[in-house]
Amino acid sequence: MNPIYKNTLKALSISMLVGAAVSAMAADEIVIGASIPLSGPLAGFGLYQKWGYETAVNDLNKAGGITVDGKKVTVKLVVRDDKTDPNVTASNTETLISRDKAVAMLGSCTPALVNAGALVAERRKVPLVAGCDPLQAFKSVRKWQYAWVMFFDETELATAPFRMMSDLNLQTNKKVVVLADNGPDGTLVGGKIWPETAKAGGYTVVQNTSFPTDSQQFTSMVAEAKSNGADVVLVDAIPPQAIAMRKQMASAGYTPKILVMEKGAEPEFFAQATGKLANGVLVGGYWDPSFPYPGAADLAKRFESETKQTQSQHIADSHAAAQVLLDAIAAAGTTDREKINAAIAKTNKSYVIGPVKFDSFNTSAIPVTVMQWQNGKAVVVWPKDRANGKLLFPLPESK
Amino acid sequence: MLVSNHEPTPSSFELAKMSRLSAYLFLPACLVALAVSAPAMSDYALEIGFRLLLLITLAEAWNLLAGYGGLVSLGTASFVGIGAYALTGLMNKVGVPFYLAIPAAGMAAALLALTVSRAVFRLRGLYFTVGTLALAEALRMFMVNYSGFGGASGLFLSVDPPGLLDLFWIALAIFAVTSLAMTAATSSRFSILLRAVRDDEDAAAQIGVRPFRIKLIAFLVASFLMGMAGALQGLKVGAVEPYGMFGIQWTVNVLSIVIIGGQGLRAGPIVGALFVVLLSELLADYPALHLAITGLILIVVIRFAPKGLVGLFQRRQRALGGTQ
Repeated sequence: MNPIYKNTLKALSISMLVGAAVSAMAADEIVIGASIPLSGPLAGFGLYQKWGYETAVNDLNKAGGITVDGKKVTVKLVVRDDKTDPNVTASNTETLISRDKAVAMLGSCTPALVNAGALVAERRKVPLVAGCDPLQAFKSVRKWQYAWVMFFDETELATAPFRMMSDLNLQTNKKVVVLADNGPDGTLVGGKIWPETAKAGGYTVVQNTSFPTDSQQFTSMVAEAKSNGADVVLVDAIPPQAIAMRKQMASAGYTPKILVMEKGAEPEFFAQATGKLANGVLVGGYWDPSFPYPGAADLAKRFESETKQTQSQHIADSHAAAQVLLDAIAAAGTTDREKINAAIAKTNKSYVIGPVKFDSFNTSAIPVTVMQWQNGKAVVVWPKDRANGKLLFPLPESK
Repeated sequence: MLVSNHEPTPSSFELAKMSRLSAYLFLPACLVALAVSAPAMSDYALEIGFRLLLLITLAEAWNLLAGYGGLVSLGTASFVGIGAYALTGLMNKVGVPFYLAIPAAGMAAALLALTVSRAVFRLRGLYFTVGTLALAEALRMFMVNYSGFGGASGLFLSVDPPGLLDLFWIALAIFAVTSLAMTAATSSRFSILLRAVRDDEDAAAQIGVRPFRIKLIAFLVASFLMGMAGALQGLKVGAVEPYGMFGIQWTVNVLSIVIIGGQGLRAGPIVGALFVVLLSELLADYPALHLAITGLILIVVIRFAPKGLVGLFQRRQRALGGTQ
């Protein structure tokens, strides 16, 4: 035999043995897997998700674990970096199921990544619970059986700024500029929901510009928006783009009265990267530690004391997703994936993000709020019954 | 010089002949054995096997272009992406079964190669490399911005993808086609012409070789194989979107595999893919370390083993032979 092939075979055999040894699972533990973006453009979300998932699992293990087939076992969470690439999410999900023997999966973040993992989970009939995928984008893919998502509905989120302006009777010139990426939720929100809601509310969309999700140069669209003189600017973009756009708006000397930056203005690093320019920027929200849900305030405190960073909504949705899955495994009392899936379907309990109950599309909607960055902190400014801060209006002039 | 009691060392010609013979017999035997034993393999082995076969197919195709033809292309992602989208479109819109859609997707990729060949073959050396990179980026941007193919959201396969075992068999079949194509391309008169063009295009033209035609054949074959590999990936994931399917990571992965394995060597892509996939699996829990180690290996290989691991091994064998 050719020595090259002979040595290749040897290497293959050794690696397979090592692989088998690595994947050997302790008898007193069950594995759940998670493929999340720890590097790439969405790494900002993945770090919060990792903390949320790990905290829920660690808490459960500290409390003695979970009863499976009449025996107490601990839960091992295996996290893989999907590098913000749907191909990697799919391949990670495959190996987490086949190599690490994950009985169930926790989802990634944003439609492209969650859907890629969910399609694999669906094919392998492995339950997957996610908390970071807008519901309409998730529902549009297919009729899911094994994938479950609890997050906000795009229509709810997109109409929130208009409902807020109406509720608080904010005076603007009723001219709206829409700048949205051409990703799944950007297309839906920027291309459809915002223009329709604006029209219904008596606003005029004077500019609607779509851009690829890796653009960094927005000067021409910002200049056009400035020349259109709109008081309301609605942006749907991922964090690096939102940061670039906010800075380019300041450079152009354009300060609308209302600036909404969906997705991009969510994580803390938006406020860190833009400094004073973050002041007054609005973003749709669905969670704050002040909400009257079990463990909400405590979760934020724990995150901030452990990581020395400001909390984000994503610690809550990821923590809740993990808890929903762990509760379902406990309720099923077995590692049988069909039974775990059936138990997820029956979820009807209040978690850190509020009540979770899945509908026939395998989704559970989280009520939406409007948040605003004020001196480096995100405060809830609408609706009134949830608000923990007063709206800063109009948007402060950038200096 | 050492005095040895061993048998006399065969000449390099005999070694090459033996190597070719064992490759002809060994590889088909391995493929048949893998196909037969696949139902008994674990899901994990099937998944790793699938990934290996897909990457080897892509690396073999790239090796034909760069290793044998000197056409260092950074446009792998274009053909992978076109293959994936063509398969999804054919299956969704026309209802073509996957076993026809995969070769058709390969043809679509070859058609793209044919379309751009006049433009990219005007460029030589580094300019060709940059030209193919520009092609990949332009296509990615087009797919992101053109809503007719789903825009940035991409498309979802309307039927459920086949199971892991079926996917493995399909990957094996594509690999078999790739091996056949590579064997034909690297052990025939065409191989000599291709290497002549690689070594000195002008001199080759002077002695009657038609460089454009030779390069075009290599480009079409490589693109066809890459298109089929892309179609297979699209079939497996069940969803295609421009950032993942036209992403530069395809190009980088394939390039790393061939550089580590050995450029212009028949066993290079196989050894490179095995090395890269096994390393990524062993270091799956340490993503940062994995990146650092892969980068370090690439630097070391480029510096000390320009012909990759296989080249290093062959050099060692020759050195051992020389001392005996």
